[in-house]
Amino acid sequence: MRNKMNINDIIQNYDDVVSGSFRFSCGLVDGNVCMKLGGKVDIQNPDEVLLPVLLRLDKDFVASQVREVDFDIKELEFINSSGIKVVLQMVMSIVNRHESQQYKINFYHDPASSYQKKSFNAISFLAPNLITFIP
Amino acid sequence: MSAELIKFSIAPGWDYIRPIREFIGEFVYVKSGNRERADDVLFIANELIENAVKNANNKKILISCKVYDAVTEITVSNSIQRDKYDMLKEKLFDVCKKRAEQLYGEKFREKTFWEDEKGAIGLIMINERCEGKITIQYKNLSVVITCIIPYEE
Repeated sequence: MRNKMNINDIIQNYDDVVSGSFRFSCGLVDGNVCMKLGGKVDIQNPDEVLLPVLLRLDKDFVASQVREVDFDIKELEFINSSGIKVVLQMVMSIVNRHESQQYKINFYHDPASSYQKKSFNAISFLAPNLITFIP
Repeated sequence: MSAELIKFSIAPGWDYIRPIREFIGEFVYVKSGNRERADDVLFIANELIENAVKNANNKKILISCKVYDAVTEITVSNSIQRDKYDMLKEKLFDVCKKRAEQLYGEKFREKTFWEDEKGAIGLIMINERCEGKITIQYKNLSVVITCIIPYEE
């Protein structure tokens, strides 16, 4: 209960990131942390816009002892390889940490879109034990 | 084999990338009826054009897309310095020889991939989608990259 309250406080400090034609948000859904990325991630430097937020969240997840987070990409229409690299960087920071400070990410994708799962394929190669894809 | 051909000649502007990739993706879908493969073509077109926009030195980029009954052939050409072309050719040669799993593994072990903001995986992702059918040429001071994407697995 204490952890959930902490993470709730942390999440309330986050504003949605809206850039170009994509939106990133983070909230609590049924008590679980849920990040959500939707729209078209096709700007030239997604690392400048998206990466700082993801790394800050990552740090806070560790501080709050979160063990599992959801990542909803069902409304993601397009993401370029630079955008994928940004998500990879977040996952890499989890991988590089001691096991006791790692958490799992469940990617929720649209089963009708082979595009989403294919684009995130690289991420499953990086951390097969920490990443799950759920249609 | 009947084919449709679409061509673009554009200045290297980032804002042109989205409408062109989406036009190409929809066109391939109309012709092939295969959404997954149309999305593969759309992604490849995007990555090739992004790369061209970054390297074109303010010179025109040429894009052509031949849509056949069973495959799509997409070609992007932009001005490039010879030494950059040689480096790109070497990278491409390396990528085409290996499986995606091996390539990602090697890439993730490279310190420069994580430290250098330009370290990229676009070429590996392209190669995954066109199953290694990529060619590269140097013609009239330009690099010409062609990918062939089959509709059936």
